[in-house]
Amino acid sequence: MTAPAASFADVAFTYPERDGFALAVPSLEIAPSERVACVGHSGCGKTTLINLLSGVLVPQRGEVRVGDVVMSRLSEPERRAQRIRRIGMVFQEFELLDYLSALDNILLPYRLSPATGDMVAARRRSRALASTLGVGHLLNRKPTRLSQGERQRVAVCRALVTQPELVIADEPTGNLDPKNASGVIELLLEHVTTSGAAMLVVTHNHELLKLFDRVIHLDTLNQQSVAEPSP
Amino acid sequence: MIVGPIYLAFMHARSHGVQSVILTLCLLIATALPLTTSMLMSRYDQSLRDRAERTPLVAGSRGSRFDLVLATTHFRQASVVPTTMGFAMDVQDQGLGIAIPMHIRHTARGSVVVGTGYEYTTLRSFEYAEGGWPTGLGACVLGSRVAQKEGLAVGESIFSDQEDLYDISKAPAIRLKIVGVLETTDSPDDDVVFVDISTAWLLDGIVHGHDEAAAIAQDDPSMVLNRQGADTALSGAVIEYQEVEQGALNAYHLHDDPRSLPLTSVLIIPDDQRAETLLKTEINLSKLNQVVSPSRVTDELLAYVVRIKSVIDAVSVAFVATNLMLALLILALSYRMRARERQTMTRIGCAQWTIPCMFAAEFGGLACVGIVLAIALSFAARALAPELMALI
Repeated sequence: MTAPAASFADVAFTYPERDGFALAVPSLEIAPSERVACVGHSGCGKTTLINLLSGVLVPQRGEVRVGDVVMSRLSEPERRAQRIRRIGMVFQEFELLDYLSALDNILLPYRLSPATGDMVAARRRSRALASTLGVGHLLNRKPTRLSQGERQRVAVCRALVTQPELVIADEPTGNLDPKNASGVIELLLEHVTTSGAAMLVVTHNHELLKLFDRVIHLDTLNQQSVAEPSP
Repeated sequence: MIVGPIYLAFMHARSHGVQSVILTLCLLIATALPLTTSMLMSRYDQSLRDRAERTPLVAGSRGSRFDLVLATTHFRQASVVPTTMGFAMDVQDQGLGIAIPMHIRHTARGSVVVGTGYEYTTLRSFEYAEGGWPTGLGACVLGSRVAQKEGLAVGESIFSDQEDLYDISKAPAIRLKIVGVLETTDSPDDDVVFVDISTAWLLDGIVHGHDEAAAIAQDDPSMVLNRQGADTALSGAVIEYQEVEQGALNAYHLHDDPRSLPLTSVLIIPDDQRAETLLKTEINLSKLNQVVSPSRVTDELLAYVVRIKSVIDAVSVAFVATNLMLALLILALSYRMRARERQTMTRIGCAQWTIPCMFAAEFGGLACVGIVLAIALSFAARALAPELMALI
């Protein structure tokens, strides 16, 4: 049996400085190449879940694994190194850096950490990815000179350029109209599937759920869900 | 792998040009101001002391001793009450030393014209790049920087600046023939035009040359103001010679007693300590004249400068502190404004040292640029020090 791309085992997390919120996930597995959507009402712990999965947060109890690595047992620098190497992130507003060109935005993980590897190969891969996603001719442009759709594509390139085992997208359709939202999800699914990575997408958009292999309802999954404090 | 953060820092600084320029300017000014001020002050101090120590005594009419010394040693055109050639002759006649007349009033193409005697060249140990000291009326020697600035050489000429272009009663501009150019001395002597003392009076219009009075009266009787026997008083409208021709030397004359001819000051080289004491005593007893030791006056002057410098230093400290605080404020605001970018980098998985390195590289890089520019500016100020000294 193949090891899961990511898993939670008996995980419990609370914010020490905030009362009233707890996330408990007894068991959750995401298989390699599996495309999973995570839904739930506002404040149920979706962002906490992906922060635990990516090692930004560490649970008080239980194990979080990405591939064969137990993220929850690693030190902060080790978790950062694993995150940048194994996980690709797509953010709600894409979070491209305005002062960098599209190419430099795609290569950002390589500028941020030596753990990511060879820059020459990454540059070649970036150009290939950008061409595949239809932004190959825009690599020298700054994000402010790109359309919303082009920025989405650049953000997807950045998430995939490190050839991650897992892609996490935190409400990537949050600010988009239905047509564009569908476009982003389809783009992500198509290219993540091609790369062979597993994918976890946090979304509020129920119309898109049919596109995924599996949907996790966090309200049901979280046995101790009370209410996540507003950020 | 520090290249990544440095690259990001560089790209951010380049993209936020105005912020980077302000930050660099803050650091540039904070560094350049105290550095340049201190350097110029020390150069000013050294220049004044060196010159004063090489000038034994300065005598002149009573008035500001600072103006008298600065006019004589640094050729400042200060409002010094003039003394007379008679005073210089009297000092010389006492046989206690050498009296060198100094006349500092006129300019030629903006450079001060110094009228003096040959003894001055011995006192300053002049060496000539070309030519030598003028022996006659209407000739001059250029200081090295004047020659360089004006692109003039021996055999050419330079016009003195006319005092008042629209007043024909004033002395006309005189064409001075260049007979020598001095070697560089790195002193105020480089920035002036030297003439013999008689030429200085020619520039005053006291010594002058024109056609014979009888010929003028015959050609244009309206030029005659008065006749008394053989003497003829001519109008100020009579056109005087503007150039001293060898053949017309006899036409030059003066109407006053030579003892009354004006001088700015008299440089005195006493024979010995005793002679110096005697000269000081005798001249300073007079109600009209004074004699001072330039080194002592300079010490006094520099004591004021030191006081001013301490005020400038205090202002500089406040200014530097303000600039550094402004730079830190810009840095702190930039750090806060980039909170979202930092969060994104952290969520992507940047190494822990990446963000501090990125900010340090940006601030450090701009600081380096500011400091390098400040040092370059200070070197430029040092190179231009003589010109800046002249302004001071």
